[in-house]
Amino acid sequence: VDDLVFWLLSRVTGLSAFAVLSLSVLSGEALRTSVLDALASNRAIRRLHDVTTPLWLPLGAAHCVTLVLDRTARIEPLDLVVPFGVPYGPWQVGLGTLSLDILVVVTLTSWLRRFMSNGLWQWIHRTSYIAFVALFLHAATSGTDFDAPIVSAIAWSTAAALAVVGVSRIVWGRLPA
Amino acid sequence: VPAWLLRILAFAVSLGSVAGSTDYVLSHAKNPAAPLQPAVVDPVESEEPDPTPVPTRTPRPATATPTPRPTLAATATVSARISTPTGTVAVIVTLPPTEAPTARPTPPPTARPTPTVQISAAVRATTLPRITTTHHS
Repeated sequence: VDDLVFWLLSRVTGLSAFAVLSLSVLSGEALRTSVLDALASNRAIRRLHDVTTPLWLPLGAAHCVTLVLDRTARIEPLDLVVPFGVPYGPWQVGLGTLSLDILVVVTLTSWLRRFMSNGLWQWIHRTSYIAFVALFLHAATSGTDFDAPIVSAIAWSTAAALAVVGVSRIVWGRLPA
Repeated sequence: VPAWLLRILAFAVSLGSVAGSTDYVLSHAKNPAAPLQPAVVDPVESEEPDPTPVPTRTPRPATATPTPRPTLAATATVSARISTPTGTVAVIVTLPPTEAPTARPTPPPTARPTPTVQISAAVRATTLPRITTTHHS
């Protein structure tokens, strides 16, 4: 298979993973705020949040695999774990690796939640905000399609909305319905 | 809104994002303004060296001219297998080593050695069928 096919697949899966991860962060924030209270109950939002993980996981994995298979990108399997090692874009690509590492830990600890204290799990789960910020910076600084108006408009507006809700959550706690 | 409808909406958003991304990426296959531009790996460097023995050129003696000496490039060897009604013929054409370009233009060589054709030992030589052209552009 030509390198170009892997390159196109990595871009498709990267954009899609960003969209689904945005939905995951939105549903997670909605559990602690009231932004989606008018749409559904907290239990329904929780189920929505749970179902987003099996949606973004294959997309993110496909993004990583296709980048490794694309010889032009020169991403080694070690670069998927250890950040900031890619020679031509160390921190741009490294932010994606950092985001992946954090999201893997967050996902694993969510699956193993019954074996740890609730406080520890919450603090680990809150690092997903850091992961999303790193993911957004990774996409904005290394994404091939992020300079396109339609892509950047959707991505920036989504990130800005999530940031507003996140900051509101930090400052005011649970928002009134 | 019930939970199952939210799940269906989540699947729809995911499929829609994949479809939309695919449509956009296929219609914009290349972006010259992409922020990261990794250098294209030279496929010649990644391949294994050709086991065919190639003639080597002895280095020239140093001269007093300040012009930097051109560096010798690898000898190019072109091999091909041609199927004929009487069998398969392997043809190996060894081109003479070429000189790499230098910062200062150098005059073209006046006489270039002609390419030599080497036939592998286990291959029987035969005449090639005449090539007939059917289309002209």
